[in-house]
Amino acid sequence: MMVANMIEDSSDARQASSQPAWAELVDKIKQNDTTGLEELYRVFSRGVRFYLCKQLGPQDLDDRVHDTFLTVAQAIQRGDLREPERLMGYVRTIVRRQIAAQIEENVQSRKHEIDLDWGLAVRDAGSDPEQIAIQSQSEDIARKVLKSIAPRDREVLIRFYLEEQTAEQICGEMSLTETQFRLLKSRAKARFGKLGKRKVTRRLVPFSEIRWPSITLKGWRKS
Amino acid sequence: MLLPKKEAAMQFEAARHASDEVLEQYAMGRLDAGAVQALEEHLLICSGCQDNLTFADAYQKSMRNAALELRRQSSAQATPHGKKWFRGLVGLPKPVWILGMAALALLVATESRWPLIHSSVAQPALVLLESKRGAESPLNSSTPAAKPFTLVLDLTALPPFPQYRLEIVDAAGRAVVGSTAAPANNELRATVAKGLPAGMYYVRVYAPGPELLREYGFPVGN
Repeated sequence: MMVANMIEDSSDARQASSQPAWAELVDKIKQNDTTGLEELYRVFSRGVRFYLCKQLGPQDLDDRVHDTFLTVAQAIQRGDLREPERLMGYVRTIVRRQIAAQIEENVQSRKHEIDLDWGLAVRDAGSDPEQIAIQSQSEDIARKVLKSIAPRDREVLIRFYLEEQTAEQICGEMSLTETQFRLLKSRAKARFGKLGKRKVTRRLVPFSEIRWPSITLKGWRKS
Repeated sequence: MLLPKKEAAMQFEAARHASDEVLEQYAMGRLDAGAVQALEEHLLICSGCQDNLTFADAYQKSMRNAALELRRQSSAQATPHGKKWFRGLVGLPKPVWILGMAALALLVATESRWPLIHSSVAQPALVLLESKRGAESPLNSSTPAAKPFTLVLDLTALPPFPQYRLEIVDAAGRAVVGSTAAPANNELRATVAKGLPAGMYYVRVYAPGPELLREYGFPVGN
């Protein structure tokens, strides 16, 4: 019952069920079948892009996605993926390695750039003005939500979101039931959504609705 | 009864979405490693959950920053309140003062080891370091220069270790502070008691060995 509470059916979710049979897909890629590569790209491109963008930001995103697909395809062809059913986990591992490698590269390049002593040609590390404006509006709304509720409810939310206390701890110390705690959180979230509807959601484009340029696999070579 | 973390470690079946609660726990770095793996694999193929996670991230970050600001405001208001209390004390009639002084003198006479009173010990500022940002685009909160601060590092998606090594380097890559810390609730906390001079700094998190796991950037202001 608890697990059932945490995952939800929806018609949209059924789209996710259209995932291919992994073994068949892996087999196609091993045989250098172009349709296999296309399917691999179709299934994972948005997710890989999302994950990379979330962890590393939008810089060089296309190149990184491309590199990831080449790595995955080549690894499958080499026979590195022994259990085709674990393809999702394998792709995730490769994406995580790419992220770790990118961070390491950033650290090294920063060291070298400093050693060259070219003066301070430091890249602007801040957000772009639009991101700053969106974040600022979002925080205004959150502040309004927190100010509009009873002090006790505000304390619950501050403990949860700022002090990162566990739900158990908050409920125990503030004599709340699990249901009361969840209701409080969901009402605050609903109010945030309602207040932000006019300001923020108009400007935020869901990740899935962004039109990304298509990437060809021209650079791909069978190893 | 509340959901224990391990309950979240379900396999995400086809035709199922992650609930808002799971996404919130993930955004806050509170899912355990098994659940994180299952969710991240699901996120690779589910655009609906990607959108929901984007919203959960934005909401959680906004609430946290707003709560931090409200907490700072209420702390700032606490000082004038203290003065008001003191003014009220001064306004008390003389006999009360005389009795009070007598009690104080009695206490001093009987207590040879008068305990030290630490007045207004400065609370270190919180610097929240999150994992969801570009490697070259640190969006973390800042802290004033030369003031104590506590780093709160989000360990989302990092391999679990009993202890991590931390290193703070300046913009030139020179190590300025080094320490080790044990995680709690999927975060690391480390206090820099003397603070740092103004500038851009990077916190590096290492595995117990030499492997660099993550780097966070944060500015120290004037």
